[in-house]
Amino acid sequence: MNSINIIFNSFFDIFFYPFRSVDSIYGLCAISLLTAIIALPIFKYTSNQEGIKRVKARIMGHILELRLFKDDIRIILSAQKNILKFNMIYLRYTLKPLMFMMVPMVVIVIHTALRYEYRPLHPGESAIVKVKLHNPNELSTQDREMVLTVSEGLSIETPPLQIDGGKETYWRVRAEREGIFKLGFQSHDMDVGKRVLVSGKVTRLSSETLKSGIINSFLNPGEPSLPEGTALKSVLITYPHAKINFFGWDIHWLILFFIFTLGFGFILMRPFNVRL
Amino acid sequence: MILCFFIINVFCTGNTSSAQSTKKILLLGFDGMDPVLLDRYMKEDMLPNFKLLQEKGDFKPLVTSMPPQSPVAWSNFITGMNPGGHGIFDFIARDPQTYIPYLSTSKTTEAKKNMKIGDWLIPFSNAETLLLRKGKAFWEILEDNGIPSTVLKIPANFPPVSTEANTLSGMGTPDILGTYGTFSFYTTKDLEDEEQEIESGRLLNVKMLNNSIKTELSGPPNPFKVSGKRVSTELVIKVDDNNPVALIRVEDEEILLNEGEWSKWIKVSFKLAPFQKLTGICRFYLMQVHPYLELYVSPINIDPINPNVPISTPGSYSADIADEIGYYYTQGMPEDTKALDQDFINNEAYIEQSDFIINERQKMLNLEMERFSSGLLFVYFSTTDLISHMFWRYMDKEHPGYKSEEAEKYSDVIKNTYKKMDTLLGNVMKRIDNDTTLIILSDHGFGPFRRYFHINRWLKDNGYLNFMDDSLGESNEFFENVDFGITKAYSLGFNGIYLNLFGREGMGIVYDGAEKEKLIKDLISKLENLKDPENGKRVIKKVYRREEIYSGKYVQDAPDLLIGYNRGYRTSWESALGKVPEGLLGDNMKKWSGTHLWDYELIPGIILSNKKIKTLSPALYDIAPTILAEFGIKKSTGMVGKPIF
Repeated sequence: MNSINIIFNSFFDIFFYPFRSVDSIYGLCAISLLTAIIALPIFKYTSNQEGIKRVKARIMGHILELRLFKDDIRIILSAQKNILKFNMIYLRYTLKPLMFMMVPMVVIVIHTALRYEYRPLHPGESAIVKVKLHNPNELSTQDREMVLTVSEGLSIETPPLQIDGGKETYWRVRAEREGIFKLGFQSHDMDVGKRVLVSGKVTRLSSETLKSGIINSFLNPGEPSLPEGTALKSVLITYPHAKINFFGWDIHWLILFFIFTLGFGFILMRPFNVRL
Repeated sequence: MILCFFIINVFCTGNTSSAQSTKKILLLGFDGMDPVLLDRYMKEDMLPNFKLLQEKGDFKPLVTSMPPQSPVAWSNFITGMNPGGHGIFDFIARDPQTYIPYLSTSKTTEAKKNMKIGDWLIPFSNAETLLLRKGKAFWEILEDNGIPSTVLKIPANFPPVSTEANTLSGMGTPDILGTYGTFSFYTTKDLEDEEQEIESGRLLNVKMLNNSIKTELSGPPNPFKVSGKRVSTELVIKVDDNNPVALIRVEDEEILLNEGEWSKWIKVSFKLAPFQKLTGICRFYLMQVHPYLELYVSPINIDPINPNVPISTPGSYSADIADEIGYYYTQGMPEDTKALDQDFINNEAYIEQSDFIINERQKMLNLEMERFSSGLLFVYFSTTDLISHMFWRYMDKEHPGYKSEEAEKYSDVIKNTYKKMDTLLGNVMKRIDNDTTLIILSDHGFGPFRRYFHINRWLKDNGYLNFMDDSLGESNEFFENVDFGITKAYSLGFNGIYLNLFGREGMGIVYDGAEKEKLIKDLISKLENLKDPENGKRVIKKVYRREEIYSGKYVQDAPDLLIGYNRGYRTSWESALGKVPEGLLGDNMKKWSGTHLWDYELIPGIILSNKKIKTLSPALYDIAPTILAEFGIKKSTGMVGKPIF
């Protein structure tokens, strides 16, 4: 799974490269356009285009019926029943292409989230580092007592705070300057690392690193999973949430992504000769 | 046709020249900056930028208001009137019918129409908060003349007066509970009660289980519930077995604090009703982790991004500032003097908090200076005042609270604050152009608060105030044991004495005319001759009749007599709220050790400008006419001041 992640990471790193120093809206527009371009052909070739055409025409016909016979309650009720029925049929027709579209969509959403869900630390900012152990009761006291090391450019602001019988350990680290830095977690027989990004640019960052496994690696592709055999369950850095300002409103990137993708979808459906 | 249009435009708007002017006035208000200290530090070459400004322009003492209290003084500044014109006479005013005190600058009225459904209360009208200061603010007059203004954190302007100018309310702005600041203090140390009300705060005894504490942050009473039960949000605190560090979790936010460390701003929300949430912001200070936990939580400030009451004009302005500089203190008097006074935070925490507030204001100033192209910009700094209140005892060897070993460490705290303001001034001076008139001013000076005076006890001892039950020996707050049927005079607030006048007071017995006149003469004579048995000094320099010093529409609301205390003396905290304790005079051992509640002639403020001040003795109420004159606008009716340049 790590090799697949490397391929996807490289692709999206190249794709987002021109947008790393500009407002997040541009990058989101670009990825939404790409998503629409990928999704439209999938929709076209996996859906029953004729059926969709037919069912939409029927819905339109019954809507007209509603307007024309607005004084006849029987016809109105019958038209409403039919609108509901053909809507259900329309939804059935869209179910299959949605299943196919979901695969690239999930990949795109995961890799976009790596860039727009959180932002890197800025110099002078602090973040909490949280480490979870898999099963602390099975570990020796030496193994449970972890030491955090940081590369130059970061500093550790607090001593470790262990809670829940050593299950979780917290530190606070501070970014001193811009760069990519490393956190090291060492105990009796363990040495694990994690990247910390300090930058003003939009960049791929992984807030949480989990133990290896296909699902974990697929959902958290930003950094390689924790090595096999380690006592660590996860390592988390609380990066600040990224703020995207859209005409004065702070809007979550996912909402904008779906709005933009739908917008591009409607704009491009005619050139792509797709019936939605 | 074009000519007609031009004439109509000129005469109807009347603002052609001023609106297009590049003239700028930058005003910085340093509350409580004292002319004697400023002069001393300038002579010691500690304040190069103040000195430079003095050399380029002028530096003079600035006559303050009587009484020299911030809400009164800043109202003089805002309106160009004396208290008789703007109606603010003290921090505290009273309802003459009930003798019950209230805070003088604003009043909140409950929603008038509600509907009850079970325990739910559905309001059909909003609760209203009213600004009690009268008189037109200078920025309203500027607005009428097309001059843009930005006025940040000015006292006595909550809720902010309706205007198109950018304003942010300052002193007088409450916290989310509607108080002037109620902090919380959580401790695992065994206390008698689980929760205790303390002065301006709540002390909570919490239990630790497996190094973890689950408790609540309390919000205001729920306005949608008949029971008025307080809303709350979960607060989890986790500590390490060995290290002096704690994890604090509020909703989804986690913060990790070392012992002796302040947190950043944390947003908290309280659910009031379905789809109704109240948000606020607070900061934590971890006093101690071992052997028992002590955690201070600041008063929950109104969220500037989503304020539940108006704190700015336009309404979105408070959020605009927060977008640029992050969250900031919205509470009127943010430095937590009450927590320091009662040892819930220490000197270090307080000084750090003060620095944080100066930095916030500086960020606001920098932000607005970037946008400042014409008109007026005013920014208010509270720290010079409150740090002088709390740290005076360390530089005054005659103060009863002076401790030489602590003084070594803290005697320079006030001086250092003046130095910080000097650095700030230096940055401002570098950024202003020749079109800018720069004015630095304070509302009053500062001095020691060595001895307190229980003025209501004095009135009692001299037969002017009487108890319902003499065997109790004293009376609690709000004149609990005072028999107004046989009382001739009472004191409320920090500098006022009211006569118990027939027809004005609820149970008035003193008749207007000869009886009143004789009573006034007696009181003045006795009070002005009152000597402190401890040292033989006069306690009071002068007692003023209100008509002697006030003019304007609201003189009749003023206390009948205004006490001008002598250097070192002040009304006791107890007397200010209508308490009559035992004893007449005593040593002030509180950390609140500096004061400005003396006779106004003893405690002037400061004024510095890059222009020569022509007036011999400029006063606070001269500033509004001066601002107007700088823009070529005549002072308005009711203003008593005169331009100083």
